[in-house]
Amino acid sequence: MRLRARASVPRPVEDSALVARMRSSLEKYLLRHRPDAPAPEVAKFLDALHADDLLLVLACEHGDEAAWEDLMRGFRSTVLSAARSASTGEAEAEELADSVWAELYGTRVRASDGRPAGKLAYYSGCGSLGGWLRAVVGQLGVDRHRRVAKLVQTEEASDFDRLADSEPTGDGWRPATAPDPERALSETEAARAVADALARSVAQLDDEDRLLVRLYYFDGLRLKEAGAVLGVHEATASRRLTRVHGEMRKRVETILTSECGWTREETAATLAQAAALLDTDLASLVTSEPGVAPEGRAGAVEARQPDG
Amino acid sequence: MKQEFDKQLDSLLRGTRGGAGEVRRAAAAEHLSPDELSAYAENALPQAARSLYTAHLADCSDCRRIVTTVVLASGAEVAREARPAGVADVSRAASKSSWGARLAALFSPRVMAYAAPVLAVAIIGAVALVILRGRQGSEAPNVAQRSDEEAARPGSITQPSPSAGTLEAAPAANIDAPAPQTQGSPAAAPGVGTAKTETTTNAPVKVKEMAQDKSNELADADEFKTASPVPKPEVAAAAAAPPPASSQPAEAVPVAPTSTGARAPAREADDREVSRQRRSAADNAREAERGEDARRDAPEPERGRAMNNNNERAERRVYDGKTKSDGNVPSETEGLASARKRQGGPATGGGRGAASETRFVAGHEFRRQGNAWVDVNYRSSMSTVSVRRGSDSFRSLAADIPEVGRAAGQLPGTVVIVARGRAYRIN
Repeated sequence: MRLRARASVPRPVEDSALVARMRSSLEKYLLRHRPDAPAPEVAKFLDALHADDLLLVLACEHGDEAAWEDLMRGFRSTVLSAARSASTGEAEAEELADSVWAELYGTRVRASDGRPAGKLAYYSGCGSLGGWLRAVVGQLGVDRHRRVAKLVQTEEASDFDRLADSEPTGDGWRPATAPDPERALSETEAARAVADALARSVAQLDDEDRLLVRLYYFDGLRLKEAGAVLGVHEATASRRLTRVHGEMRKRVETILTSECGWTREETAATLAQAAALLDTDLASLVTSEPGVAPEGRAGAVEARQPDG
Repeated sequence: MKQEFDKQLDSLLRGTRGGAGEVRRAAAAEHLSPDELSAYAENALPQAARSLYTAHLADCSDCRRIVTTVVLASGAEVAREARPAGVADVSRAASKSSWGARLAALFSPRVMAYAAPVLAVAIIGAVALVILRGRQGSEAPNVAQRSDEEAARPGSITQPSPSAGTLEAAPAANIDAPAPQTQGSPAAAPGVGTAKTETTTNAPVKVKEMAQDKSNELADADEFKTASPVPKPEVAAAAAAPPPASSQPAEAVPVAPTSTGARAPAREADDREVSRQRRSAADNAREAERGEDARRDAPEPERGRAMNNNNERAERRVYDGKTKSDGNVPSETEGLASARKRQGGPATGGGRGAASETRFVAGHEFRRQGNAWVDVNYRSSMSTVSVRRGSDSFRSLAADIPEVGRAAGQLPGTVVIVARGRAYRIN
């Protein structure tokens, strides 16, 4: 078998188990989306599987002690470093890492063969084992955090900042009410219209462009990092983002002129004004009025209310 | 790298981050599995599956965060500092490297490939000089005494020596001298002797200097050519085996002692041994310089050929301990193949020490470029991820891709390795 031949360390894994796992990976990632995939593409996919990692995982699943030792020795640091990234302290990280190992080994027993049913059974070999372990740790970290603080939306830390910003402080840093109510209302309406148009134009982007925008603007990644997630070079990401800007401007202008009845001049002026204002936060203007929240923020606001 | 963005849109999007149409996935069942996330992060998915997951990631901040974490932690994070690949990069990396790395570089195989022959020649020369001087000092009275006895003996054909030192120096100096001149000629012996005294004391030093100073190479090479025309391809054999017949006359030079019968056979054997050692050393240095000369003097196409020849010779002389540990001499075709393979390397590698320019580590073949070991599969068009040894990123990378860790551990200096479709620069 080619995959076994590619492995640098031989493992006592039965062919049937290996074939079953490879078939499962093939079905999941290739044949489900392309049932008529040509043979060369199938061969390419199988050749790209991580042979060593897959054999190691299968050997662990079948209770090979040496494989478990190799797994622990080879990936202990990976799991711990991922746990540190997902935790706030060293003790928490170690606890998370321990729980990950327990999950990998399996806390339950399979009815079929009486062996522990661990998460290792879900490793396909498509990605590296290290990356898979990081993703496992990341997911467990998020789940764990949610269990600890059920009412806190952990994924949008910036929401809390905005929420805090939107609350009247009374210390003079941000006035609780605008000095001119009519002007404030007008600005709020304009800001809401712009925000809505922006949100819709982002939603209309194709998947890759939308992911790029979210990575770059919402998640705060650099272009290099966003490009790495997308699997493209930084320059490509930059060019793509420039193109996305053009598309979005057209869409926003179209929405504002057709649905809000603004002229092109008014649209341009409002966009310029909003952009100038947005040293701060457009969303905070929109949410400064109670009960008005852009899509996606309502959950955060509601989640905070019981705490208050 | 950032192009001219639409500044208004840029500001608006920055201001509305997190609020523009983000869809929250309420149920965990909708999230991607760790396997899907890691495969996506490593760009290992077929296009159709990847497109599907891209759509999910664009709208799911949880999964996006995990993918981002995996991408950045696995070393796909692009180097913070924009640095062009190439020699400048290597030199910068070298300047930033630690003392340990510098020491490691100092004793690296490439440096040792140059240093070892030079050191060997210098040591042999020094030992020979010390031995000769010691004998000169201890045997001078005996020689003088023998000379007196020979002079007193009737029928002796030997003229009284001008000095014991001259007599003693003669055998060693005969490396460069044609044999017939010393056939007991009364007139020639003193003259040759004095000339040889100077040569004797300078010979090891000269060999050493030749290896270091290229400006004297031509003159020295000419001098050696007249002394012993060793056929080029048999250099290795010449260095290891007894001297060829063409250089034998040098050992017949000590005429005065042999003709008079005053010197013991053991002493002659010693002299012969010293001469042979020095000839071997001189041959080695001369051969290296001939190759260098040929490369330097030849026009460009011929220079490559000269480098080829030199590499072939070097291939015969030096065997990589790892790849040829069985001690078998590689065949002619193997030598040629490996030498030609190395010719594909960068000009910085040069011709000397070519046998140590490539190494096989962790299943990868690396070529030496300056202070860096570069994977032969590396292309400059690849986006390179820079990772510093000992950093968290490096540990993560080594944990994920063990071959990277092994290569970085076994190779000194900067290591550029191509693994899983990406290039990693380990500093």
